[in-house]
Amino acid sequence: MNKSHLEKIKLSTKDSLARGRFKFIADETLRDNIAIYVQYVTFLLSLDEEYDLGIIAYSIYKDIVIHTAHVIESLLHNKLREMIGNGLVDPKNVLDSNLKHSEEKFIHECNGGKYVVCKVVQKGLEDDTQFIAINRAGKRSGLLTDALFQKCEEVRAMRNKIHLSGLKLVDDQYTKVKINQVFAIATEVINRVRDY
Amino acid sequence: MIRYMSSKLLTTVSATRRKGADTKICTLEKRYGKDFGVQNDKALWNYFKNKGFGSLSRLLGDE
Repeated sequence: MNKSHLEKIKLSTKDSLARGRFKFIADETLRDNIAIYVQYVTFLLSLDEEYDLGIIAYSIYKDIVIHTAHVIESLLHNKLREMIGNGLVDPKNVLDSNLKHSEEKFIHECNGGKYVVCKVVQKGLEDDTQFIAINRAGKRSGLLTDALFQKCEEVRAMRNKIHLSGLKLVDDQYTKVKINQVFAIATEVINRVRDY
Repeated sequence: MIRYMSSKLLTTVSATRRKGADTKICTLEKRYGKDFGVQNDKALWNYFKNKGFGSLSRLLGDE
């Protein structure tokens, strides 16, 4: 069975984005993956603009927010990795320490509570470093200004709505205004990462 | 999208990709008189601007 062609859709292609807007990204795999995400964002937006999606529209908007947030997170992560690799930033100064529970030693029990000591270990920038740690490292390293840090935190909060079990409200409040705000933040991050 | 291309055009697109050349889809569209839904950069920026998404145009590099 032949599928219908979405004739009204307008989109920016992965190749065009990778060779143009995102050509400053040295990591080819990341550059292509980001281009694929932005290509999809343009597709979703055009889909919503050109076709009557009814009750699906807010899910399209949420998908746009999530994908744009992933682009922001990966750009910051990659830039930090480059800065650390080039010796411009010491991970000890920008990444939080964490408690390594595997080496914990029980030392005392009091009022039903157990007290332990454990070794504080310094985590490096990992492939799975969380968005919040990336934002904080971005601020501490100077990559993010205070204002841009706050904006990235807003995006992170929106992106966290992928965790449905943690939501207290029905998540159907996405608007054009909100989408434009996220795009504006993404633009600031792209330019900052490119020029810093 | 590819299913709608003629075999000749498909070959051209494939060859272009193999060579890694800078030939754009819009160039191929112009050459073969077909619309693949892919806009040149300026047209795309204007399209999103006109739809009320100037911020996306800026994200894509219009400024």
